[in-house]
Amino acid sequence: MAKIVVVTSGKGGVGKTTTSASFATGLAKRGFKTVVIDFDVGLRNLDLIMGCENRVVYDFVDVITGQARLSQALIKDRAIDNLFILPASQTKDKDALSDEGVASVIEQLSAEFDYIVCDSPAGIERGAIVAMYHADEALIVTNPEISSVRDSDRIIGVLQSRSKRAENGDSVREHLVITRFNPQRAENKEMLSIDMISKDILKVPLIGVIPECQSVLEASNRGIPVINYEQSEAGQAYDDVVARFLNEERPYRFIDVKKKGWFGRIFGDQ
Amino acid sequence: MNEAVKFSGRMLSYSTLTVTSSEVSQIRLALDERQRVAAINMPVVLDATLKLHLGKLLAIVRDVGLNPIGVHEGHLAEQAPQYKLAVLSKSSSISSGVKAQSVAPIEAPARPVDKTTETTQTQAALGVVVHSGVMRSGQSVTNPDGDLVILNDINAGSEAIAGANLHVYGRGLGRLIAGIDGNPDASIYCMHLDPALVSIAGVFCLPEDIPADVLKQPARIHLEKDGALVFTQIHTGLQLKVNQ
Repeated sequence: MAKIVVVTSGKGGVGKTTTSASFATGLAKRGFKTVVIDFDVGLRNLDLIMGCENRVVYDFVDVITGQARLSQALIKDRAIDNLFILPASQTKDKDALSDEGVASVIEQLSAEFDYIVCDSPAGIERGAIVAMYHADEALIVTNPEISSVRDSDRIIGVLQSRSKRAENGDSVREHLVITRFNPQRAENKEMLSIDMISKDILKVPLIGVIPECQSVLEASNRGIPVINYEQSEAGQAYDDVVARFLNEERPYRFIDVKKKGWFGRIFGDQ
Repeated sequence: MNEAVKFSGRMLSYSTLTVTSSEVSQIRLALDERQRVAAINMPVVLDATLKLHLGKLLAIVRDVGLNPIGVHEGHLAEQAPQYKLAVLSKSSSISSGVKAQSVAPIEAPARPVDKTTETTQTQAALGVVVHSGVMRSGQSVTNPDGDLVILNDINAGSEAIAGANLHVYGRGLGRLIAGIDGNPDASIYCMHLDPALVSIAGVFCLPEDIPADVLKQPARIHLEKDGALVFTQIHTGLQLKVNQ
C-alpha cells in the first residue's frame, strides 16, 4: 500500500507545485516508486515544472471519466525510472474530479506505488478538498508572510476536519515547509521568523526551510525539478526535506544570515 | 400501542423579558436599544413588575422581532389565556429593567459548528462544551446552551461562541463571543488576550478600543449594568472600563 502525501497551502503561488515536483523526485531518486498527481484541473502546471508538458496525451480527468486507462495517462519521467506523473486536464474544471473517480484512481495507484504525492490547487474549494481527502501525511507549504500563514492555518483546520482520516477519527500527519525564506529579511523583521510560523502560529513540526533562490525560477522555466540542481541552495534544502521525511537527521541549512567577507562588505552581496 | 405522539421531558433554554414601565414609548425605546442583543425570532417569556395591557405589549414585542411564547406568573398571567399564551412558573430571580436573562438548561446538546477530530466533550449536566485542539482560521466552535471551554489557542480568523461564559486557556487571537442569547452576566476569561473582537451579549469591542494594559495577558471581560465592557487584569485585579 502506498503512502499518500498531499502538498497543500491554501494560498496560491507559495510553491506547492515546486515542492511536489522536487519532493516526488527526491523520493524516486532514493528508490521509491513514486507518482505525483496534479489536482489543479483547469490550471495545470505540474507537467511544466516536471518538463513533460509535450508528452501529455491523456490526463487525470480522462481516467476518471473512463476515456483512458490509468496506464495510458501516467507519464514516466525521462530521467528517473521510478517516477511517474499523472497530469491534470487543462480544459475541464474541478467538478470533473468525482469522489468515486478519485478514490478509484488512488486505489489503483496505491497497489502499485510506494508514494503518491498529491499536488493540491490553491484555495479551499473542491479541488483542494479532493486532493487532501485520501492523505496520510501532509506537507503544508508556507511563505514567511502573514496572509500565507493565515491561509495555511485555515487549510490545516480543513485537513483536520474533512480528510478521510479525520472522518475515521484518525489524523493526518502534518509537516511544515517554509519556502522563499530570506534569513537577512527575517533578521530585519521584514519576514516572519521560522519559530514564529512553526511554533507560535501554526504549531506544526517543521520539515524544511527552502531559501529564496534564483535557481527555483530557472529550474521551473527549464522544466527540471529544482532538487536536481544539486549545487543550488534550494535544491539541497529540498533534498533535506526528503531525507527528514524518511526519518533521517539533517541539520538546518541556509537559515542564518551569511557573514559577509570584506569583499561583500565593500561591494554588497545579493 | 398508538405511537403517534410522545411526551418527553426537556427543560428549554429561554430568555425572560421583564417590563418595568407602562409607558409604550419607553418600552419601545428600550427594546430598540436592546434589539441588537436579541436574535431575530428569539423566543421570550414575558414578565412585568406592574399591570399592563398584554395585547399592546405583545404587539410591541413582536414588532421588534421577538417571539413571545408565554408569560410568567404575576401581573400578566390573568390575561394570558385570552392571547393563547402559556403561564410559566418563576424559577429564577428576575432583575429589574428590560433585561434578557438566560436560564441554564439541564440537558444541553453539544453543537460544535465545525466537525473536528479534536475532542469536543460535553459535560451534559452542566451544559459545558470543552474543545481541546488548536482552533484554526475559519473554524468556529459554538455552545449556545452554556459555557464553552477552549483548552488551546484560538488562532486569528477563528471564532469561539458561548451562550454563557467563554473560557480560553490558550491564546485568544480570533473572535471571542459570550452571552449570545443576550445574557449580560456572561464573562470571557482568557489566558492571553489579543483578540480580533470581543463581544458579550451583543456589546462588542474591537482591538483598537481594548485597553493596552490587558492585552497579551490573562484577563477577564464582563459587562457592567450600564452596558459598558470592563476588562480586568487577572493578576492585579486592575479594572479598565470601555465606554461605548
